[in-house]
Amino acid sequence: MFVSKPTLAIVYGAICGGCDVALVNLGERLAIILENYDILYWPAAVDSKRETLEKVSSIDVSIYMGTLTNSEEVELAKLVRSKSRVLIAYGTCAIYGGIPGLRALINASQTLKEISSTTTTVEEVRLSRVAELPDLLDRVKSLIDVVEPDVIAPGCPPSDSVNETLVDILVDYAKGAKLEGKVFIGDPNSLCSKCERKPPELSKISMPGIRRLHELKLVEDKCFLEQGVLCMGPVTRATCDLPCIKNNLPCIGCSGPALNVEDMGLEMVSVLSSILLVEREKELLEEGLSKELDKIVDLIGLLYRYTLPRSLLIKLKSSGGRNER
Amino acid sequence: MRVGVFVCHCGRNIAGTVDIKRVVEEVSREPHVIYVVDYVYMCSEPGQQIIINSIREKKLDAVIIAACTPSLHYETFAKAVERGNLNRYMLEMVPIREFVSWVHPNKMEATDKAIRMIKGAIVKVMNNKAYELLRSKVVQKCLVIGGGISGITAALDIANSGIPVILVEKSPTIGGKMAMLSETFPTLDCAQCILTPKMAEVSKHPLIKVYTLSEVIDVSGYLGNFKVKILRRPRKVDVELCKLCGFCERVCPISVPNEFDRGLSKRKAIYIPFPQAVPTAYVIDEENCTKCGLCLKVCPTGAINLEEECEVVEEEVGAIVIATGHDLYPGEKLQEYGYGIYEDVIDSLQFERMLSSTGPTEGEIIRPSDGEKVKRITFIQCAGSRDESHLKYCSKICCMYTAKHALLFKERVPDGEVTIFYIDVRASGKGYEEFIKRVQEEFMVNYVRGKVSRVYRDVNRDLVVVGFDTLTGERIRVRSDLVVLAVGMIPQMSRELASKLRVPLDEYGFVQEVHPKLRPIELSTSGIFVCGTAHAPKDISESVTQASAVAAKVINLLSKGEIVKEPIIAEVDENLCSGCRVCVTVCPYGAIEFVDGKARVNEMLCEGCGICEASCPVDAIRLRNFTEEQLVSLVKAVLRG
Amino acid sequence: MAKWRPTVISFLCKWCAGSAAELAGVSRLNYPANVIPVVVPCSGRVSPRLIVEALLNGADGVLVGGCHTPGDCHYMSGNFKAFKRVYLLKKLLSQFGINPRRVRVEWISATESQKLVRVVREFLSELEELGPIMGDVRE
Repeated sequence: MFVSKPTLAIVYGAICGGCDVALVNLGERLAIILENYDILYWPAAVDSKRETLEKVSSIDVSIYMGTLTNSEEVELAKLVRSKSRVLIAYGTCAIYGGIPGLRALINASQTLKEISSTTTTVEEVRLSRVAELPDLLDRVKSLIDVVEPDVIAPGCPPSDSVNETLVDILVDYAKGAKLEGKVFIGDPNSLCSKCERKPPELSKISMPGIRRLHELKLVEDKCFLEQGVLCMGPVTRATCDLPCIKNNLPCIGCSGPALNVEDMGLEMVSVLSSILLVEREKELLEEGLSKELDKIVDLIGLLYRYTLPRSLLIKLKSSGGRNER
Repeated sequence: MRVGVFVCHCGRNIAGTVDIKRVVEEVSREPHVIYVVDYVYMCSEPGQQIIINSIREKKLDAVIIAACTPSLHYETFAKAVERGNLNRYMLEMVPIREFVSWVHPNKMEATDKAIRMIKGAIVKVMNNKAYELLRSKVVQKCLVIGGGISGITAALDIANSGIPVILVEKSPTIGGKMAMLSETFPTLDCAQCILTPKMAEVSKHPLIKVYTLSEVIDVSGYLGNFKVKILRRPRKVDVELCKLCGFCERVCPISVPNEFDRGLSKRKAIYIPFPQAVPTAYVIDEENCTKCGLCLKVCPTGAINLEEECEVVEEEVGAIVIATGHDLYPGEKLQEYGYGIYEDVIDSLQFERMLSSTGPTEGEIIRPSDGEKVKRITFIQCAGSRDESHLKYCSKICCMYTAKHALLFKERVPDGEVTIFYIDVRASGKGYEEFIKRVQEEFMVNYVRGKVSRVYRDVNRDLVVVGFDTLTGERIRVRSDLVVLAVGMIPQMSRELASKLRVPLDEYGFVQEVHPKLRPIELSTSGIFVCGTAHAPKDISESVTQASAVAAKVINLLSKGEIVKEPIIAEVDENLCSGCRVCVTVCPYGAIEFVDGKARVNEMLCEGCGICEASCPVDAIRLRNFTEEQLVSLVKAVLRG
Repeated sequence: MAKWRPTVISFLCKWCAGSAAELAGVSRLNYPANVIPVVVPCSGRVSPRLIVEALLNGADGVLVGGCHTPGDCHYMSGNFKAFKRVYLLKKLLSQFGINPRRVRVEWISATESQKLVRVVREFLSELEELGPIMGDVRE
């Protein structure tokens, strides 16, 4: 039981603002959180300073959103973990790296080189040391790479149902309930378990080829894979209510991997290889199959859009010279 | 987990290159390994006894035997392990002979690799589970779909072994295409004479139940336990009561083209397909009967029941034989040859009926258009076959039956003129080449190598066949009274029935066998077999051979009453399964089905390939003792060294 | 210091490539020892994850050995699945800056022990040229 209202801190790594919007979209439910918690820190909504976080002895609940891209964000993550009783990783960026995670392909110096070589200012760009800028991490990370959170709320941004559950957790906690171990919000199975486009008779998927979205008229009640459209459904966690599917767009994997999916990209490679043109393998042979597979233009963009820092192959790059994971 | 490792010297075969002592030392240090021993010949009696004793004394849960390849001695060691009261699936063999000592002469490298491989196996076996052999009772009954010569042969062979057969035939009688033939090549045996005794045998056989006018409309279940639904169309004539007097036929007012004569004659709406039909009874053609009731009035035995309805019968069988046969490629598709335009252009099976002494012309070769006797006849081989625009494949029998047709025609019309247009003459069976030679030389049949571009009727009422003689290099025109098209075979199996049976069809619609050379009558759907022209174009002797082969497979499958199987199959963790359907897409055996949205493996159909596990994005479906996690930890242990 | 030698994990299907390896043993053909075999029921059993785990844990190259397409696969078309997986994986590796030549799929029938030895030698010498996998990712 809390004597006074428990404290809540909402801190950022590299964000786009979408997760803030998701929280604000809670509307009246946000008010319930505000009733139950004292907002210690939330740059979007409250005028508070970093010092507050450093000076306070403990925080009851912290919500971390965003990717870890520089040394300051890493420090902040460690800080809130050490001081918080409950740490919530909110949004796909915090858990898997999200969109900023795509920078995991190149290191800090390459990044800076890219920036300086593509700038269009007239003057030569020189990084100024007037302000103390945090160091760019060589490899962007997710929160989970650095600390262990207590609650995980995936989604880009987290869906209404995830947010509902989160609010319940927060309210219960404020009322004195204990958190039982680690909580991973949302249905752990893949999108296919909830997708209404599955035919009533569950039988083979016949993927007729690779079709880009503009190459065909998308049929509203047919499985995307059966139309040749790349849908990340089989590997993506079903924490949302499938709004994309219901609006006739394939899943792009923003909730991260379903339970027991070791690496979204590698499992999806296997899925696609297993279902593509299975009825015509002996007719098309390697040559024909390769031609069709070549139609997938950007594999990393398709397969790792939200989870690159947590992929197995990135770990290979991260060990850069040393044989360790 | 208490793991025991047994390292074999295999005389000098392994010990000559691999440092056994170092292997034993290093492996002993591995976690969970509580006992390591080496011996000169592990597979020998004393060697096996060491294993057995060690299992008992050291209370081992799992055993690694580093020796030769499993292909050689897996059974030996598995039985030894079982004698030690340990389940055989807790045994892993590491082939350090074939894969190491015999191929790597450098002692250090060989020893290193052997140690790595053993470490990998240790890590794998620790996650093995014990399993028992799978057993499943089978229904000792077989369904044969199709009552032609293939179906009849299979049914008789199977029933004669004591296994009951259900024979389902679409038309009112069994006999198939062979019943329509006059004589068969190369012996010129009368087709009916060799076929009808077999048909009679089928009808009298106590273990064969024949359903004519019937079709299989649904199939469920799997190997050993199929449930089939058969739609029986009403004959409207009682088979027992019908005495074949034929009064009904005489009074019936409806006349329609006779399909047994392929339209060359007419029959009534109440008819018998041919006198030797089995069942021996009349049948009413539902579609064309007007229910006028005239036949009812004259039937002396009251065998007719115009109100008889369809019924659906359910049967349980352990195996299914597909013998659905073929049909002819429709001549109408060969417009340039005038089929369907000129009455005097007919196809080979129609000519067969003409040749038959019990056919529409009682064996006389006459022009359908005006009944005039035929003096000049042209046969066009490969009509629509070996042709990109029609049938790409060769139907195998046309060269032979055309030669036969030419011979039989010349016998009846010795001064007749016979021209055969051909591309090749394919005569590969026993006595076939000699037959062709005889036709060409003795009967003076004119073989022209070249294709026919068209057939038309000219002002003299002659049919003119315009073709090209490639050997003289000239365009030729042959005047004929009758033109016979040797059209190819197309399969009769419908895609609908094939999908109900879950059997694959090839691009032409023929039933797809597992392997053309090694398993030509088995299908990827276990328990279902194919024979005859349903599988591919072939002649009668090949069909009969294949039917007997299928019967042997069926008898082998069903005679013991149960199937016993290795338990290393896939299984599903339902908590993880999302019903994404990727596994069912890759399973070669159709062994996966969905129950309440989750995948489930049929134990009797799974062959343990594991392709499903590699495909499953959440690793919900796993191959026993060969899971992804086991392989990953094996690889890590091997690389760690 | 000993000269660096590449380590290869080879996944060989038991019906074809694995049998060829056995035959190589029976025939006493010599080949380098830095290729470690893992016999699997079918090349289609090999998942992309398994291949990457090998690369991640010390393998400089991975060889997948299966039955010849189109018709030799004991399980009908497992080899086609293996082909597509390796094809996509190689494209993915390139994007990650890892040399795609480090993963190979080869069709080797049960009697082609000579081919297996040749492939192994070729692959190892290619990897010797490419260097250790860590070199691909060193920046």
